[in-house]
Amino acid sequence: MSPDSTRHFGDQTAAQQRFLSLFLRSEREIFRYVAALVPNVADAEDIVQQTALALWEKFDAYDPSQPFTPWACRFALNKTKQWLERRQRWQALLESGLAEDLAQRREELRPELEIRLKHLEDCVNKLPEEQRSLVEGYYFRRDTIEKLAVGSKRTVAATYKTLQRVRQALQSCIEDAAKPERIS
Amino acid sequence: MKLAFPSCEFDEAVAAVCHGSASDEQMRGLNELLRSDSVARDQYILRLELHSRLDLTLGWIGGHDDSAALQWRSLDPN
Repeated sequence: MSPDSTRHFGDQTAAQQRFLSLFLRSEREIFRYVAALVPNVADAEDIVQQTALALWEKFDAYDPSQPFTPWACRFALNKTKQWLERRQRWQALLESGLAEDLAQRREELRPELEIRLKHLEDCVNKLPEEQRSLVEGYYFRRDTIEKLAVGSKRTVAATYKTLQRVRQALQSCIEDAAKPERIS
Repeated sequence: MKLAFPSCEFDEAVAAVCHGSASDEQMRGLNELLRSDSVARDQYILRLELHSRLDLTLGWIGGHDDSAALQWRSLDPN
């Protein structure tokens, strides 16, 4: 290996480390940004992965004096729109500029969302055992809804409905918990 | 499908979006409603955020090895 190629390899490795460090710090926010538009976890993860590759390809153009996350989220929005172009049903939901509107409004609401959602873990822990078990099965173990239905002796439709009710209960819980902070 | 907010139909449509089971009608109904009703739009954003945070809180921290950074590392030719 020539000195030049050694230096190039070293530069590349340093850039890769810098990129990974920045990306890892932003990854959850990028995921949440994408999931606000495409809530299916597997789809959102796929888009985040495509975003990571695009970010790395354009990393030379990143200005380190600017925050990384908003720069990355612009790529994430483009990747999400490319994903939507291949899925007609999702286009019906997010067409006519709604994807951009939702992304922008979510940014405006972020401080308010953070106040509420920091109570989420406590609220999950307060759920009755059966409901917590369902939530853990769906979100942590990523069991299929069919498996969860069999386990809880419900129909698939009833299991979906129960999950919907549990999220409504969690929403009430986080809103109640956040009330004192929002008043002060 | 004409959706109103608040309504059971709105609740069901948003839940169906989260579960990946929304019908074309529900998708179109939501698009129309969310473009015209800012309160419904904010509520939609909160519900989807709650859904994704549950996955992050329980799934990601819980140790799933599927972070994009990890996958990116395995894809990167270097």
